Amino acid sequence: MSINIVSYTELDPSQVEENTNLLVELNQARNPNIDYRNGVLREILLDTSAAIRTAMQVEQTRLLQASSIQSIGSNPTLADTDTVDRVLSNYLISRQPGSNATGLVAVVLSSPLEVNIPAGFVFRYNNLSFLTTRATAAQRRVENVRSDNDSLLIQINGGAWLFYVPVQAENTGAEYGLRANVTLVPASNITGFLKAYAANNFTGGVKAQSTADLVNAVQQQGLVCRALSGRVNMNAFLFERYPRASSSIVGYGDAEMLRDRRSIFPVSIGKRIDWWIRFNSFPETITQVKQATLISVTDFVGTWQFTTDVNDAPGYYQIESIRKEQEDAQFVSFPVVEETFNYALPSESNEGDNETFTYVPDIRSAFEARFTRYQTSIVQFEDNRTNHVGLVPGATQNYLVTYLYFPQLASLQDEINTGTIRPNCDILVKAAVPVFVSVEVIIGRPTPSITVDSTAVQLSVLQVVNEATGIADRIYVSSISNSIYAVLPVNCVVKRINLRGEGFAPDGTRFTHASSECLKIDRDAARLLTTNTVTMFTDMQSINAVIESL
Amino acid sequence: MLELYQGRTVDLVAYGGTDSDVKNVLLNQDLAMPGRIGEICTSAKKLAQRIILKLFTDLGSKKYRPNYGTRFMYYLRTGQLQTTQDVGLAFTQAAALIREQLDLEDRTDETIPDDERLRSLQLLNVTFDSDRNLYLNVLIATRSETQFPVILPITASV
Repeated sequence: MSINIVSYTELDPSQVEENTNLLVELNQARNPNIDYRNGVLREILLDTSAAIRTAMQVEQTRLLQASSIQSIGSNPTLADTDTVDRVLSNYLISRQPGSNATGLVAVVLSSPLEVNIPAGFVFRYNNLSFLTTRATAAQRRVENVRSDNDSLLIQINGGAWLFYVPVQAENTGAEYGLRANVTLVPASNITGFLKAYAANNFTGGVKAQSTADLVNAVQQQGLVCRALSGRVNMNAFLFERYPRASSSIVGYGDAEMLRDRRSIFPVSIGKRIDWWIRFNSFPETITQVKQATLISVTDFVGTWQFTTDVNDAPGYYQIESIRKEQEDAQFVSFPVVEETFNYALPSESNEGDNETFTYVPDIRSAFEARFTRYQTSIVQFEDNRTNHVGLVPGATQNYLVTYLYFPQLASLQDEINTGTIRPNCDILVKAAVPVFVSVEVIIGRPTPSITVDSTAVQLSVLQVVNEATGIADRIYVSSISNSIYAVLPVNCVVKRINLRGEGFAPDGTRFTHASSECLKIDRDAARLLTTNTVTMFTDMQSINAVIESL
Repeated sequence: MLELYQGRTVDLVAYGGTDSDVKNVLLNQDLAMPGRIGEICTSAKKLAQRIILKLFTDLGSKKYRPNYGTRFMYYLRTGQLQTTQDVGLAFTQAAALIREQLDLEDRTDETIPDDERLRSLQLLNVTFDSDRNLYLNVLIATRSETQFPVILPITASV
């Protein structure tokens, strides 16, 4: 049994008193000559007995509270987590543990000093701490890089030197998911230190699933068969693999289903499913080395081109940065001037047994393939920092390209395509159409002496946008405001919330919207922009809390 | 002696050594003492037991009864009682708390006889012996005008 009272301080004194009085009455009736009302017997014996009895009653109540879905659902905060986990395991649902965000910190030094960063060294962003996961020695010579504990010093433009250190967030939670290039501050001195910043998006930071989330999962999944045979079943199939995912299933009869209207008659023929999924609170980044080809040189600015293969960053949302290895990643990204999307399908294999069968969804345009694992692209960008003297079109050079994407997308599509799972229809997994939201919250406080926790405000906004909204084409300021009020001191008010969203439509266009009431996207099913396809993201760096006097 | 108990309810003695003629017997918890198990008491002695229990219980240490007890033993244990004046002050504070708690407990029970109800609790004198043990000479007066002098010998390094 995990439910137990660990401290008598948890007991309600009035409940103990009630039990003491009951014991007094019972004993007094049995032994009328002995005084149980007050004195030694009451205060030493009966009081203690009553405390133990009360503890047992509380334990029983908690056990009952945690032993049925109905009780858990009615008040998730009261139910004991271990017991809830046991009950929910009967429904094949298990609690997802929390995890700490991880990432790489780029440390920039003024000279090539072979400094050592010990394990557990702290870098900070505001009041969030990140600890190095292992000792790292900066090495000037490549031959000295012999293990994971060595990191090569790279000379970057401007004469500074850079090396990388792996870090992990101090605690679990999405608030530690820093975006790339965010400046970090070391807690202790580093010799020759110039600056430090997040070299990539810090990912993987999530809180442990709450009991309320689990109850919600039961309601969605319950004892539903996890199979690709209907919307409820498909969701159960998805949540079993990706418990933090949100999804929208577009199929026969839906306005956004365009792939089943290809006959000469513009009617739906069915057998097609577009599965729009948001796998996590925020997409991840991946950096690939891409060989680019020089297209042209104009006024010392070279236009280079590279291609993105289906496996580079399947279904990626956008290119976060393009740079050379020698570039300081924080401020330099060569601008993309043209991005042309296409698609590439593997050949369908229907030979052999079910295990080797691979199905390929029906895709006939780049528009249909956008945000799927079959998306490819040709990217042209301008490099104004390379000395192009002597370079002619056709010359090649390597660049580091960082993509924003959901790595789970390809895994799920590939799993669906296998012969052992594939249903009798065409399922195309798509990353939900992204809208990146920036939020400005203006908070009024009556006196400067009242402290407003800006990080808590940011976190409450983050929670609403990234975790509570799911797949939806709008977000209401009121829902954000409600969440903020839960962390505001008394007498402080939310004066205004400004939302601004920038999104990428599957047709390659970009759109922006702004509102102080409800950020909503113009619905257009033909462009696959509806409440069934769109999702909204934000991050801590995009949430600005301004504190003003009332 | 027997008539003292006739028609009355009795309680167990938790702390022996409270009799006025005993000076050098340290207080002991009789409930756990071999040889004196089951000693009973009534009237003022019973009241004395209740008072001692409260005096010796740290306020807040009974987690489910946070308002039970006094700060007297805490002050003593933490070395804050160095002089007889210190002890007197701490006892006065404790006595007020004990009175408050007894009043609260007895308020609704009209069957408690007057010789078990507190009228006053007075510290007559404080002495330290050569080993720096503390002796509190306390006078408990009940509402039936009976008085019960108690010497509380406390082993403590003061």
